[in-house]
Amino acid sequence: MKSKSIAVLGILFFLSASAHVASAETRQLSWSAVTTYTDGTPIEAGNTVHYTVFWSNDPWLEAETLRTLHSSTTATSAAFDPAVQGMTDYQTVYFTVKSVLSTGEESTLSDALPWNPPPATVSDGVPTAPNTPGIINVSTSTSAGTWKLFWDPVTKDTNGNTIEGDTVRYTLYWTTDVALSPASLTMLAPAITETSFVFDPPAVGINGNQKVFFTAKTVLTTGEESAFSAALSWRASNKGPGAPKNGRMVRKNKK
Amino acid sequence: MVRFGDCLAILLIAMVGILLFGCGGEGVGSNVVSQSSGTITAMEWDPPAVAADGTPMDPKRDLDYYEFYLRTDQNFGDDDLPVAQVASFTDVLSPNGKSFKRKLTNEFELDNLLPFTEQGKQYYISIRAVGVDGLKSGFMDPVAWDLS
Repeated sequence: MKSKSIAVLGILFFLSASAHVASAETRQLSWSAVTTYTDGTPIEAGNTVHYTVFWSNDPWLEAETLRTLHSSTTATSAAFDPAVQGMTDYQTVYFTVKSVLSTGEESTLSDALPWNPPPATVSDGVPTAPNTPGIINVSTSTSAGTWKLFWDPVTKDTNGNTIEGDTVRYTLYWTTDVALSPASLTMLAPAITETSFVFDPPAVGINGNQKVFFTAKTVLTTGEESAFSAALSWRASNKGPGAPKNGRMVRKNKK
Repeated sequence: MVRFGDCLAILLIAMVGILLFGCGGEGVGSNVVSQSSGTITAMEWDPPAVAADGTPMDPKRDLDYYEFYLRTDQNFGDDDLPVAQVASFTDVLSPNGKSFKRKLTNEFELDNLLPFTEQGKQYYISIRAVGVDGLKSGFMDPVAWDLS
């Protein structure tokens, strides 16, 4: 009886349906429940059937090529993400399932079900963050001077692809928090297309002699945003340094 | 054994030295100095320790360089262009030889300005401190420099 049951399990099931789309990334594999031995004898009540699902690139399902998709499940379907499993684009993969009774008896592997994984979704990277802004004084006409922040234009996303068909904008912030915590950020310029921005510190709320940090992020019209750029540390001026004093002439021996 | 003749020679050299270096006209600290052979003329100043609005300032951190201005009168103004500039500090190797200490610049040899002068004239020199943020101080009170 025991040898009979093992043989029966070997041909009990087949994949009842090919993989189909369950979501954008997840596929579902299902198979028929095993209820009988190979000779048609029903599996006894209380003898639970577990399934282990494998996949392979080898149509002959050589043991060393098998990779486990799901192990020891009593369900008759299993969800999987081809990308997570490492199923290479355009390379046919073969699914197979093995039944195991709670008594320890195992079937042979089911026939292989071939399947061609879809091309991996090429996700667009978000735009790269601007480089660390620089700052220069452009005028001393106001009490704290007028200053210009500048940075290099962003042209690529984080995948290294050139950003096309979209307007690249930059949003600038200042904060007194070196960690650039979002709650501390004060917007300096919202979504501008230029790669520089002129400001007067008191007019934007920066006090004299206050140490602040500037950061920028890239924003696309699609709403995608980059991470924050590295911070530029800066101290607002107090009308510049005081004048040197006590100038005097001295005479020294030539060296 | 030091002979009397040797002592006399040393005394003579010392007296010549005093004549050459110690009796050249105006002394150290004078605001009018003329050129004298064997010596160089330099200008010293006190670096600013406060910002223009009187708030404390760390010159080792907040200053970038000094600008030197030269005129034949004392009417320095914003339209004047600097003739030289010098860093506001130098990094000096510490005695342990492992690190540098920041030493404030407070001296400038005026020979560097001679290309901008004519012999026989009297000039006035002023300097402005320039902060790391690019803002400039006012002019230091002019110091006379006599090239006659």
